[in-house]
Amino acid sequence: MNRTQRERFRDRHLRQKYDLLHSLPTLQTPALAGLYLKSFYNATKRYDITLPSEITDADTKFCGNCGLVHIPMVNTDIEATSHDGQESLSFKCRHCNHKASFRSNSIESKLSSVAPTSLSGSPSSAPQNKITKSTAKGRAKKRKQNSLNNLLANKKKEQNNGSSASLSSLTLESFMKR
Amino acid sequence: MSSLKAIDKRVAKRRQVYKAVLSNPFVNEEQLWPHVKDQQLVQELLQKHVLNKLQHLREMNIPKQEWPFDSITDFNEVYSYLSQKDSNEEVLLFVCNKDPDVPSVMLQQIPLMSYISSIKVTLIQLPKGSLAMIQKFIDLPYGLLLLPTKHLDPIFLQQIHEQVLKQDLPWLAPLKYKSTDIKLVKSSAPLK
Repeated sequence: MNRTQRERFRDRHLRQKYDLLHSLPTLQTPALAGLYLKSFYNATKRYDITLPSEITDADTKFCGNCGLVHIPMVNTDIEATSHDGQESLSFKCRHCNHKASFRSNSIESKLSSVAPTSLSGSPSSAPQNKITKSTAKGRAKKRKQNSLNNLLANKKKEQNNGSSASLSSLTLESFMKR
Repeated sequence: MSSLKAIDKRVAKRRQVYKAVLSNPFVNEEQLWPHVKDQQLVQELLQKHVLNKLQHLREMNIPKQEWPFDSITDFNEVYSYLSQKDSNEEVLLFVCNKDPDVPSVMLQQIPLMSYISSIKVTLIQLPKGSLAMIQKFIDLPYGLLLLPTKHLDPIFLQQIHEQVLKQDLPWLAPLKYKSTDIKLVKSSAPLK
């Protein structure tokens, strides 16, 4: 196979798997969804294709538990709930009864704080509004920060910096030193 | 054997392109949001025919039951309205889908919702910055504005319908429509 043929084969292969995933609800065989979804992901991995996060994020397009494609009113119930001023959107898969909820800050409060003129929307405030998701990268970073080595290093740094002029700690020791 | 220079030239001639691997007419993800011909015009029409009126009604403190037409902005209400069965109603659903303040997880499901609903929904995407524009007139907590067409100006409706294409999602069609119950009658035909 030359290059174009290979690409065409890849496209057709991926498309076939993607279409199958979408035709499952019609075929009344939702039990196959997990298998097909896994096979689709494996295929994209084999061809080194990075999918957009709308597809790969668990529970957004496909159910995180059974892998069925979400179709509101047919196999998914969606409800917006607000809890302690935090708005969230919850999905419930009718096939496996898996529930997932996405938190998002209320839109109104953000808009009023940013001022509704179109240009003043600063980029720093925008990400807060997006639905918070924990990505694998983010979790890894957090894990790294919480490791013992890092904690020790931070403490040491604090001691070096703060032994002379730190007022932050109000323990007896810090007073005696001064 | 080609020289290194020739190889270099050939490499330089290729440019990087992005191809939509997964897009196809069956899933039709490119056209998830139906195309709007003139977005600015739609926005102006909405403001002139609906938003100004809503603002006046609110300023005059008229209770919501007495308003000449309905407007639904809450997500749960929109959802329950669209899940009604067997009604001949028609609605317009305006969505600010290009504003960063509207949660994307919700936006992803809106086209599917409006397509699968048994009510006739005209889904209209609004240009960027419309959320802030509409917020000046009314509260829009989810970036959704659903207007039942029963008491709306027919000229406004016609103008909107002219601007917006019909939604087409072939993979959902079998779920939306019931399959026809075709049966065969056993009979005989003469031999020729």
